[in-house]
Amino acid sequence: MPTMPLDLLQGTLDLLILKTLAWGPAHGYAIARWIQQLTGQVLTVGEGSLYPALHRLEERGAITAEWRLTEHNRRAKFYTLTSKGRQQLRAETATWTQFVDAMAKVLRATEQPA
Amino acid sequence: MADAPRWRRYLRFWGSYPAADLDDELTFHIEMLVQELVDAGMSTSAARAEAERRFGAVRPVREACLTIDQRRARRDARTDSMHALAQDVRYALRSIRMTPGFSGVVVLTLALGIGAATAMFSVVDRVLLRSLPYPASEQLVALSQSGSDFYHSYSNYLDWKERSQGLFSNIVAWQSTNYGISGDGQPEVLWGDRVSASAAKMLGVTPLLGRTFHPEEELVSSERVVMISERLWKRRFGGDPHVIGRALTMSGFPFTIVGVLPSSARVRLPTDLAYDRQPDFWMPLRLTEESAPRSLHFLGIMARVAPGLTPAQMRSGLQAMSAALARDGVDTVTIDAAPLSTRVAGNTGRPLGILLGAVGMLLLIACANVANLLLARAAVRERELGIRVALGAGRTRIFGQLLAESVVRALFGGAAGVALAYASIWAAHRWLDVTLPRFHEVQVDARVLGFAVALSVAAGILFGIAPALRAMRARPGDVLREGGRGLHGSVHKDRVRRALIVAEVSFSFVLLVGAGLLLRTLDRLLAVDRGFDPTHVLTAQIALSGRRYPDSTAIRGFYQRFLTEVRSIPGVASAGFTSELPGPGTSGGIEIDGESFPPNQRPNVEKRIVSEGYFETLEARLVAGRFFTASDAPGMTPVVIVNRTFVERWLKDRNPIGQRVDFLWDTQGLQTIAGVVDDIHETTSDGPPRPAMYIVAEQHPVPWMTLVVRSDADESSLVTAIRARLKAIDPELPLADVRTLSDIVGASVASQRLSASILTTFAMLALALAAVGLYGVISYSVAQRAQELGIRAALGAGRGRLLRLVLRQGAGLLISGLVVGIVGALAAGRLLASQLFGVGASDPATFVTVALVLSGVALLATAIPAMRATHVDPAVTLRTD
Repeated sequence: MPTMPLDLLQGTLDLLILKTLAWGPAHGYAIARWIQQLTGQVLTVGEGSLYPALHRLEERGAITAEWRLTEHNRRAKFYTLTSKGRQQLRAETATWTQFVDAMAKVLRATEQPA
Repeated sequence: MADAPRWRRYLRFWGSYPAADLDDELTFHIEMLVQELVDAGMSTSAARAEAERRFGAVRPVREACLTIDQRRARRDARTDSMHALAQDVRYALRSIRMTPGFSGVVVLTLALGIGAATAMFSVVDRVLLRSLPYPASEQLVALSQSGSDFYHSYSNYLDWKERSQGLFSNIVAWQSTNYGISGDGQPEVLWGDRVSASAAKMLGVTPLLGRTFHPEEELVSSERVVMISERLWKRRFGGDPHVIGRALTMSGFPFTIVGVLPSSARVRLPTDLAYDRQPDFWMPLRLTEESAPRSLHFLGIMARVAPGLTPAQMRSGLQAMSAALARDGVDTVTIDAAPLSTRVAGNTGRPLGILLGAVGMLLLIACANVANLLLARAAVRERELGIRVALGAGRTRIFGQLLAESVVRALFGGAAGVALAYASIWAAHRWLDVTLPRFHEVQVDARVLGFAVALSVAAGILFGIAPALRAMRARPGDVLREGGRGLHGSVHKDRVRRALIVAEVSFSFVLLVGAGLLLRTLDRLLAVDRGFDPTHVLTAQIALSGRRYPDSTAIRGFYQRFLTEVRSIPGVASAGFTSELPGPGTSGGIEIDGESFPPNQRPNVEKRIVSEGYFETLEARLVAGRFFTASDAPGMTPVVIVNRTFVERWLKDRNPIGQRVDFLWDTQGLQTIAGVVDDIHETTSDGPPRPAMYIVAEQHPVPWMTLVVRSDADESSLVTAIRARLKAIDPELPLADVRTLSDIVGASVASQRLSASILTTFAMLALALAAVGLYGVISYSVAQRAQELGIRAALGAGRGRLLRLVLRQGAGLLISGLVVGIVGALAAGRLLASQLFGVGASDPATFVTVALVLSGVALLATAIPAMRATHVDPAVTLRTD
């Protein structure tokens, strides 16, 4: 199964990042890894789009960053969801679910509408 | 991607450093990839290569992220500084509220400086900088000609109008004039302008009611029409909306009202008077070359330059026109033009510049005083600031905070200053007769307010910078170690305060010298020998209506009868008439029998028509021959009198008496010089005397004359008596512009008087501020030295010795200030020189007087704290530690 680049859909990457960070603070590398694992390697995150997306989200105030030590005792930049980011996640999840449902209804339809 | 050098993280010491952070973040990502691959069994070098391949091009990622981060950093910095500023202002307001007395002194001091500067700027801005209140006023020019400057004859106007095609899109002439009106109520004299028909269009005047003039109404043959002012319309016609078409009898002639002039500033013509009068009426010129001969120069001429023409092109066009006029034998003058605004501003640029400079010095003195106060207070605040530094406040933050505090104080001072400026301008409009052009337009408007705000901020920074810099250097350790007492003044601080006092003293010296020189100038101007004695002489104007005094016989008859009546009033020593009182007036060309002059050197003299008795009333001095007498009647030999300068210029090697000349003003044949009078100042007081010629009124009557009466009698009873005699002869004739000759002479030096009084006010304020500043510094130093002085007293130093000790300190500052001040005053004197008369710019007497006054005041300011020093009780001062 081929991997799909994630930046096909505008806003999809932002939503995935926010969702990932909902479990707790993480650095960029971990975020990329988690997304890849959770989607069963279907979606890969290119670094070329991940880091600009992180910085943009930080600029908008959806996430904040701070330098911390990892479990391997290395300095890394950890991103944390802000309350504003949490709100955004909720709103966008709802929109996304609606969209997916709608798509599914159309794609699973067996009869032509009257 | 190589590891970022370790030292780079130290860049973060001064705040966020986005580029370094970003590099670290991306490097971390790649390192993690490498680690993962190594864990999976790859060799380190292969893993690194694979990781870098997977990551792809780093540069675009880095740049994309950096752009976002930098944008954010900038926005954050902006928000931060806005927050900091708001906090600083709040802090400043609290600090001001907590020290009402101190803040009051600061605001008052600054209000004086900023107020004076704002008021002065509002004047300079209006008089010199703003464009005139006419549409496209930059295109307007005033025409001048060699010989008589800005006065022209009607023939000049016709010539230039005809020949200036392509140069000017419009050219108009005007003359200020007066007409008597009678009818209902008291006869009164109206002031107005005779103007070319197109003047309204040129000046953008739209009538409130009715219309402006038609071109044909300039002709003598057309009906007499007049536009009246809004004021006259309301006063005399009760604002009647149907006033158009009504008749108005002016000086006996019936005029038809065709329009009402709006009372906006736009209808004012830039008259040659320094101050402009709002006209009561406008009427068309209605002149002919017969009634206004070429030799009579009395019109102002202005023009609108044709669009697209540069000033240089226009002036060379005028030169060509002058040449053409000379070639055709019409005229021999050189014609030139200057921007109308320059003509209106006249020679006010230099005096206003000097006053602006003076007010700048006053403001600097005020700033120095405030800086001194703040420095003295800084000692008190050092503890507060030291603790704040110890608690971690940044030094730049403290610097910024103190500066913000100063600027807020300055803005309060500026607000009070604007109120002061507003009040003084209001008072000047109401009570002072300010002889500055366009002064009536002066007001505090948005532009002046903007200036005041900018000035306040600049002043706040100026006086706040030294105290703020000092506070930034406060060392918390010192303050806290001192057990909470204020630090004793360091040498450095004293040096700044002393320098400020020296500057204040020297600026005051410069201002006082300037004021002194101008006052002496005024004194000399008033003491100038004008060739007559202005005291005890009353003057009044009378204009005869052409309808009821249609010819010379009627006019002559009236003046002779009136003169006889006035002379019979008890207490009247002598009386006479003149066409114009001593001062600048009508001038024109003349001819001298048997002489011929090259063009451009033709004699041009002041021309006056005077009655017998005029020179005697003025107590003018006879040099040769005789004055006019009653026997210089029509039919007798036509005679004139010339002045000393006339003789020195053209009749030097001859006996002037009996020489024949032509006055060239409606004269038939030549006149004989009957006498020579010593120069009467027929120009400004400080100008050189001009040649003048006087023709006798009995042989050359004109319908408008000014009465001069010498009498020791009380002025008001004299005026009542004259009015009564006039009423007996002609009840409809108004007596206008009743003034004493002394007042008129006083008014002739009004601009010098104005400059002198303003500069004197500034100098006095400066002196007071400097004295307060000196007092403050010496008091402070005495308080600081209390312990030392106490020890000296305990060791047996007498009071005299302690007094001398403190006085010496004040004297040192004074002498340094005087030395700098003398140098400054000598330099400033060069700028002032053109405004002086009869006194040198480095006049020793003025310098010595000012030095003595300043020393006296400084001694007083030092002596009070010095006396306090002698009263120190050694026991008390030694115990305080």
